[in-house]
Amino acid sequence: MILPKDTVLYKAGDLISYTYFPHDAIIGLINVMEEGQSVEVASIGREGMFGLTSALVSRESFGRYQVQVPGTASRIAIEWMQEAIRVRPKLRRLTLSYTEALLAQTFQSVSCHAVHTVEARCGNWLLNARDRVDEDVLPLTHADLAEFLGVQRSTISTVLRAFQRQGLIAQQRGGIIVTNRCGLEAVTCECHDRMRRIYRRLLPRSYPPVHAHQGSQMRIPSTALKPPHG
Amino acid sequence: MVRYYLDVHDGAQLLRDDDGSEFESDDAAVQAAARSAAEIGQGRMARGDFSDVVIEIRDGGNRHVCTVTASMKIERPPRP
Repeated sequence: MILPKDTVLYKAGDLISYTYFPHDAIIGLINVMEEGQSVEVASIGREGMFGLTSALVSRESFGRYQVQVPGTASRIAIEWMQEAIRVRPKLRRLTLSYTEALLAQTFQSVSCHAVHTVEARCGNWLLNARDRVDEDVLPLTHADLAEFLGVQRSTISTVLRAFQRQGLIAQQRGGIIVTNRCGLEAVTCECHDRMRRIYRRLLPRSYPPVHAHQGSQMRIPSTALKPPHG
Repeated sequence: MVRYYLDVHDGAQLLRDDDGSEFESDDAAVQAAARSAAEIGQGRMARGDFSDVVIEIRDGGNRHVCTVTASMKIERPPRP
């Protein structure tokens, strides 16, 4: 199925009826506070799934699942998924591995939020998104990144300007292009690398290998980004 | 809701906000600029840069709403 940007798949308290497997879409799990502020608690891409591990007993969504990067996904009715896990030990082990990885990811992200700079966290987000969609062109705006990272848009603009000056990214209307992946890794905190190692250990085939060309400057196609619609 | 533009002084350069963001009032825009100045200042501090963070706010009619400055003052006692 196609998941357009900003689609809300579950709100907090909704009954979870399907387990989703993103292909190239990225979905954020958002916690909405009483005064209306929203915080991204986790994001899920090709390495994972949602609508299963958080609904083992109550089947109630504890946050809002919202599409951050549009793309495609598959879904299966949760009853079928639970039955498949019951009869397939390998599948059960795989979902448990992902549950452990997601817990580790949350553990890392809570610490990252508390002590690391917006610059490092923004770099992490771009790298994670780049690796998940396996594309250098990310259809993200400054406002999107500000929302995901829980900071002001003007803060993101200064961070992205600095990345651009260092030749790590290029910016076009409606999107960000990662032009130097290795360089971007160098300005982020330890969290991206640590998460990659955890996923490599628990779910070795979740990310595509990093291609050789990604370390060097790439040519930016002039047609890489379409203008934002609406 | 009114659209406001937050231009950030970045060293000698001015990072001009071409898109703007919507806020309910001047005060809400000032709040956002103050938060942003603190966030940018924290990032600069991590690099050992304690310079002032200055953000200019204008509205859609290019009216200057205000200037928000976040500064850090460090005073050491004189050496004995």
